[in-house]
Amino acid sequence: MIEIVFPEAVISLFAFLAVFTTVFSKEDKDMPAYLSLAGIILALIYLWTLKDVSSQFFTFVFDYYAWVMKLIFLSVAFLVVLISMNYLRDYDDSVGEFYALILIATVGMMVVVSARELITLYVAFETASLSSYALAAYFRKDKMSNEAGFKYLFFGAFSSGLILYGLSLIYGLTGTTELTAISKILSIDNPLVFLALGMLIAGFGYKISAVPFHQWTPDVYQGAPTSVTAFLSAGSKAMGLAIFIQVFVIGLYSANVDWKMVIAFVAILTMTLGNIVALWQQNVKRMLAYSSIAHAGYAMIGLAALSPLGVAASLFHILTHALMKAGAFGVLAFTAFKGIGETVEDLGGLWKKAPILALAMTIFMFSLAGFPPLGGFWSKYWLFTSAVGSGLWLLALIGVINSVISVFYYARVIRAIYVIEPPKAVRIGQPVELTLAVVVCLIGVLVIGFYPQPFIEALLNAVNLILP
Amino acid sequence: MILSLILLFLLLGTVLPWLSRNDRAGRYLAIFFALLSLAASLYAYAIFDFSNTGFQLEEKAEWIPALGISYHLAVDGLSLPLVILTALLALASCIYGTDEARRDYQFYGLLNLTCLGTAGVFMALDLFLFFVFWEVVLIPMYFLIAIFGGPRKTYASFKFIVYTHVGSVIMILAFFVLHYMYLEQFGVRTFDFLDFAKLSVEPKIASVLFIALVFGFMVKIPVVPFHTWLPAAHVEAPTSGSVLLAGILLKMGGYGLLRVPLTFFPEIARDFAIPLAIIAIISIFYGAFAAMAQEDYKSLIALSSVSHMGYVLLGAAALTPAALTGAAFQMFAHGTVSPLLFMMAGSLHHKAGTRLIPQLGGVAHKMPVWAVFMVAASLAGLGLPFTSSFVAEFTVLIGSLEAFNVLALFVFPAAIATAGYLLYALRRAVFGPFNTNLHIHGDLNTQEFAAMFILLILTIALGVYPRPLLDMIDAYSVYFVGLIGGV
Repeated sequence: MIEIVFPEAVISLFAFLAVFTTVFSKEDKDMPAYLSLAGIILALIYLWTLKDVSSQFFTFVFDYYAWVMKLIFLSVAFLVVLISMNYLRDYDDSVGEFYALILIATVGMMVVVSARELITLYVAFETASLSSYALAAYFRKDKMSNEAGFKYLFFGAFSSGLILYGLSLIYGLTGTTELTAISKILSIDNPLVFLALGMLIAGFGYKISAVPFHQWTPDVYQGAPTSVTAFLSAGSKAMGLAIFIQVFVIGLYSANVDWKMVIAFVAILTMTLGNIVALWQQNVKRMLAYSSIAHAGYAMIGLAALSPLGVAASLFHILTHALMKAGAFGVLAFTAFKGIGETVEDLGGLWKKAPILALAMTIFMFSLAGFPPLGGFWSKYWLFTSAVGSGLWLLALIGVINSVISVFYYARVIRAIYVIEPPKAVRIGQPVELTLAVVVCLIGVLVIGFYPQPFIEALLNAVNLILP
Repeated sequence: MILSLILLFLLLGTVLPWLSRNDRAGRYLAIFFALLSLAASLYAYAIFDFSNTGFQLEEKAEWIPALGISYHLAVDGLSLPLVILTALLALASCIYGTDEARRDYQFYGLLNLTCLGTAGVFMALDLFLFFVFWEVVLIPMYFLIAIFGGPRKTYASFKFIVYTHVGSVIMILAFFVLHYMYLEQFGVRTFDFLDFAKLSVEPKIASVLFIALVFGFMVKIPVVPFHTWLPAAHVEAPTSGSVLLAGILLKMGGYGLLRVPLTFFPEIARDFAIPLAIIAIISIFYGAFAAMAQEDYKSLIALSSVSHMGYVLLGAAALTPAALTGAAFQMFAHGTVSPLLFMMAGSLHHKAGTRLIPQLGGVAHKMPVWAVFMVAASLAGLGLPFTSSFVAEFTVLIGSLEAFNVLALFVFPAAIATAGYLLYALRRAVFGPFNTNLHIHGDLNTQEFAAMFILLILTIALGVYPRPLLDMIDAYSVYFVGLIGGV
């Protein structure tokens, strides 16, 4: 019973410890990081033993779906802490809070996937969101970081308001906050349902940066410290999609409301805008922000398909996207931290400066562009097939066209890395922790690429469990 | 296991040079593993059963059962010659080496990786696996052009990747449709070639699929008007890159055309026979006449490829046993002659510093060995008897005369044009008085000589005695035409 909240409890405890170290020494930048890593590893080990548990603790539900998602969130947190370590050693203020915020945000995300009830869901969601606003603005003396934090907070607060309004409307219409109960009661007789759905789509749309609620994304991704960008792109976005799945697929699955077409429409807008605007970006961080928008569009294809296959494909996309983006932003964290810069030209000749990271970045780009047999290819492939399986031919076709368009800008990054030969390129030391994190992502992308079967099975199981 | 072994050797020939990070070691490792893969493919030839007309040396393992995808390899009389050709060109291009000493170990790895993808395309019986290998080829070739290419390498590599990627996306969409039709008809997820052959498809849908697939493969062959990526890519690519591009990458298109749309929709193919033949003849003519106008030796050879690969499309359109045999033989023959010509052009550029025909003249005085090879290669290129191209083109013509009667006769003037541009270029560049403005540094070196020698001997040997290859291909085409119900 109560053992199912232990992973969250462990992470919360270590978050506290990470802040606590700063009381004794602000100079020791590594101690809080090691504590965070230890906490995450403990939680991972404990979580692993809970694999087949299905149980409930008040409104906190633990099942296979929650287990899979928590594994993803913990892994992302682990990678982000590793990426941040080198980056933050040069920061001239205490860093304990940084790691604590990452851990707290992770706890929020982990609770989100265990919530099958609106209030729990909302509280957990806000826990994660508020921590990430602070993370985006963590570099207090950096104007860009401040701007990012402010924008993120402003838009985030607005979207929270929308979500809360939507949720309260649903509560008013049904008299319950349990998602499964809602799905039985809610029907389209009342026009207020559309208002509530609209608010929820807009509110969660902000979180996963779906068009037209995406405007904050490029500025926040570019301005935030790069390791935080990795966290936002890999973790926060995954949480947004998870909420989308829980509220819409569990709560409104059997409700007689046709929201599929709305999602399909938003998906088309999102991926097309993301990919086309990305073509013009010179700053790679900003380019990847638009690529993140495009990928949110792809992920929504699976939700529009609304079959077990489609929803599982969305989850699979969450996983591969998290690995690719954590890795890619990890490499950018390296270039920013070593003063190489973050525009496409700055990456020129990276193969000479940092061969391992250059190879990894290249493979992430190929994977994001959807070249087989890499992780990103399978998730796109699976999403498009699921759309076809649900009869959404046009959606799949537009997805494929988008995928071809995206090759153009990813190829620019690859070209810069390998083709350009700067006259005075010297080898730069590749920091151990960061390289380790990037290599872990790389291995993940390759393993999923060459042998996706176990991942596909696991996610199909998870989805079959939560779909009514 | 022998087919996987070929792929494994090519994979080692890719990864080990990269890991060695040493130019010299990288070269030897790449040559060594290319040699091993050639040995393995010759062993496959030795154990190949000529009396068995179906697929042989089959290997099948589950890969992603949830999506119906398997690791399924096999060869028949159509694909085994191309697998051998791939291994042979891997070896020849590695021996020939780089144009300039720069990032050599990366270069050799990329050569073997290209061959790995191509060999996989020729072996794969699961169409998804086929597609994966198809895309794998794209990446190393992109890098070969973009890193090691000539002055306009950025433009050329970009054009190459966009054209072929669009072609392959259309191809995978067609596979998709087949996959879903099979799921509907049989309730099983599969991408297996042998399963798809059992599908019954409505003629209307079949025509759409046929056109989509043929389009995807025609871009790769390439035929007019989808050929514009080819001269750009060839002229800018490094010599060994051009060798693989002309030798095996174009064959992927021809092979795919014969293997996929023709096998699945033979009736539709017969309906489209005349339009396809007309496109083929236009390609043959266009390539020949465009080649005549070129000043750069390399773009002359590149456009001659368009012309020669037109014969493959013509043979495929005719769908008679002789025409199919000729088309398959032409792929092998062009796969040795065209790389040989590209090596000649590459060596000329190394030694004389230019490939522009008007700037050359009397090169034979200073590079006699090169000149001997060049004349032999040009004669093979124009289809002189006792060279393999003669056997191939003659067989295609015989076969298509059966199917198209008078239409096929239109090809003969193109054969004269082919002789014209090759001999005209020889006269201006190689013979005549020596152009004193030229500064030529020596003749062929050992590695160039070795690579060219292998290809030239094979071209002549197969011209004199084509049986070893012809028997194998014949078994396939006779069986295939029987399978689809005769002419």
